[in-house]
Amino acid sequence: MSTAETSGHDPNSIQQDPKRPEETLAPELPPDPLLKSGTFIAVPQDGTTAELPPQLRRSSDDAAPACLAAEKSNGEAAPAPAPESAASLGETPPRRAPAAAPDWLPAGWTVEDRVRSSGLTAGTVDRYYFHSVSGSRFRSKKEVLYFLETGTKRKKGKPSENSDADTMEGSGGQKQKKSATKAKTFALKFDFSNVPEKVQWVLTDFSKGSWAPFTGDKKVPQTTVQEWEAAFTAFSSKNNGQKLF
Amino acid sequence: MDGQDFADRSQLKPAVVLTGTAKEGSAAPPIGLVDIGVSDGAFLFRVALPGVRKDQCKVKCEIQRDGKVHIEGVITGVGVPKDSSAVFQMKVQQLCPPGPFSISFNLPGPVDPRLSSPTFRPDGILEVVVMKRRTPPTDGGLPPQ
Repeated sequence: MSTAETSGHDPNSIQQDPKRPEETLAPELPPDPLLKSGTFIAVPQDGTTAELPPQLRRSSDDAAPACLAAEKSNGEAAPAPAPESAASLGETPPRRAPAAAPDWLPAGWTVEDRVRSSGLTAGTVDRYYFHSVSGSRFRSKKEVLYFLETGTKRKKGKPSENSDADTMEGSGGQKQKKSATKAKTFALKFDFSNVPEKVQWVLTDFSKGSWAPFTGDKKVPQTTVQEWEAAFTAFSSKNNGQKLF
Repeated sequence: MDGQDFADRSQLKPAVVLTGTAKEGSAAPPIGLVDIGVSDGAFLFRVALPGVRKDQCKVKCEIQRDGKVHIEGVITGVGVPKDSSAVFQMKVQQLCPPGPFSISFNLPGPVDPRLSSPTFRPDGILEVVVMKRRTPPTDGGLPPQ
């Protein structure tokens, strides 16, 4: 968490590695023919996916919310389904297969691919991510990244609601709960090691008595100010009665 | 933490630098008297700014991470009473004359200048709480499990 930027809302910053080579179901899956030097089969690259029956082409990535695929604009979503669905074509994989962890996943996490055994969607592979310490289960990379960034599990809801948490006009009880979570999130994201050289506080609105911080000659953005305020509130209340030093 | 020692020392010898009109108004309720307090996690300082008008003072409070504090502002409108447009020629001038001023002093330790809450109280006291700098984060560094 100390590496996170204080202003880091950017989900793309963590997805720096677009390739997911280990993300296959079976270890005996043939390697990518494009990478094998001796291969001369003149099959077009998308040929493997074209042969598949449509219901088997559903991979765990497809099962994730549509917004997930939309967010992966770095081309990650496109190549990933091919090897997975190719593997599910072969001999029936075990119902629960501990899969190789993708390289964006930190240590302390496990991946499990489960095949649905019944129902209309039987044969569909669902990928689960498990956090070993907390035992929490996650359904998608997006959920995992959210947890890594904020330390909290994503609440179910519309994706738009999560992305701009500033405009929260919900029903009474839930709103309270959410803003508390928000304050905690800000405090958690506060970067203690990276203290700026100096901050200039300027009295901007004398009637309300509001002060605006400046670093250098630039006004600190409102979102950052909110983070500071949340951290200040969190720690000034925590200081009551307990030593920090 | 030797906070108490510091308070004693600072009362003996306050290291406060005044410039501008804060230095000149010697007979007036002086600008720039400073209180400094320490708690477990934060410092508090109060600066007397009598006669500094909130709405025109352009007061700035610069806090450095090593604990240095620099306060700047301007005293204006001495000849113009509040809520009046008439201009008065000052015959007696004991309060701080108009002009810029600055006040500099050091807090007893390093601070995190982001974690600060300045308040300009209606009684002319600038009151600021600023968190001490937290050497390597002991908590909050990892997401809670």
